[in-house]
Amino acid sequence: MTRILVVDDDPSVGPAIVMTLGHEGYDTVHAPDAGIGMRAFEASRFDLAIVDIFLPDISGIEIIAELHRKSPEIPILAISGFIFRDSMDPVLDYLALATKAGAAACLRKPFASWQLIAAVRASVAPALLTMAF
Amino acid sequence: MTIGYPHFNASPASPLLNSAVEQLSRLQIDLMSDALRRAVDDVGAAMKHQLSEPLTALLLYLYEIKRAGAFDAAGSSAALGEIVDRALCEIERVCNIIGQVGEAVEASVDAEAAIAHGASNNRVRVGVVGSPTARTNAHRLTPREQEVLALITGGCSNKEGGYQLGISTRTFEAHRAHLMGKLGARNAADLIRMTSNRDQRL
Repeated sequence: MTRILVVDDDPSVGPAIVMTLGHEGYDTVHAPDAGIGMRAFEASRFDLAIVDIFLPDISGIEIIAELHRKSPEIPILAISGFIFRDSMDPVLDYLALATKAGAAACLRKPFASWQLIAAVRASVAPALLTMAF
Repeated sequence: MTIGYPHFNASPASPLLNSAVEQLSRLQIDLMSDALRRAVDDVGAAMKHQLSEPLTALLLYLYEIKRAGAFDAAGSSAALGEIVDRALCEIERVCNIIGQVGEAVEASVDAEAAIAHGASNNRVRVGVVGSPTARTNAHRLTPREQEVLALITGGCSNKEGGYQLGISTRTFEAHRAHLMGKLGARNAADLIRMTSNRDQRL
C-alpha cells in the first residue's frame, strides 16, 4: 500500500486530505506541524510527502529541502494557498523555489479532490507527471 | 482628504506656519493612505491564505459526501446527489470569485506602492521600520510586510506580532510567508541575517 505523509498545520485541510486519499486506497498519515512531520518521516517509510509551503514557524520550502536531502528518492508534492507568481517580483515564484528545493509537483489551494488525486498519482508514478501537468 | 486650518490660512505673514500646515496635511494624507494600504493588504492576505484553506476542506468534504452517496442512484438519494453537485458548483464559483478579488486587491496594493514610491522624494514619509534596510526594500514590500519584517527581526513570534498589529496570527503568518518569499529567505534566521548584512553595508 502506498504510504503518504501530509504535513499541513491547518486543522481542516490536513484531515480532509487524509480522508480523501484514504478513500482512494492510500495509507495516509497527518502531521500537524513540521517537527511531527520530520519525526514521522524518519521513523517509517513513506512513498510520498505532501507539504504545505507556508507553515507557521518554519518555511515549508526548508522542510521540502530537508526531506529531499534525507531521502531524495521520495517524491514531494508541495501545496500552497498563495499565487505562485509574485506580482511585485515576476522573477521570483514559489513554484520554482519549491521545485528547486526538491518538490516533484505543486498544487495551489483551493483545490478539488480530483486535482489532489491526479497530483498524487502523478507524483507517485513520475511517468504520469508530464501527462497530468 | 484634507483638513482646513482657517486661522493659519488667514495669516499671510506666516510662510513658515503655512509650510508647516502644508507638511501636516501631507503627513495626514500619507498616514491615511498607509492605513488604507495596510487594511487592503490584510484583506488580500486573508483572501489568499486563510480562505483558501477552509474552501479546500469544503471541496474535499463535499466530494466525500458525494462519493458516500454514490451507491444509491435512485429516489431521494439521487435528489440529494444533485444538491451535493450544486453545492460543489457553488463552492467552485466562490473559489473563482476569491481568486479574482485576491488578484484585484494585489494589483491595487501594487499600484498604491508604486505611487507612494514615486512620490517619496517630495513627501513626508512615515517610516514604519526604523532600519535603513527596510527602507531600501520599501519598493518591494507592502507597508504591512515592512511592519511584519520589523517585528520578526525584533524577535516577535507570530502570535505576538499578530497581537501587536491587531491582526490574527494566521494573517501575520501569511504576511510573513509572503515577505520571506519576496526576499528569498528560507526561515526567520535567514531574514535576520539578511537584514543585518545589509545594515552593515549601508
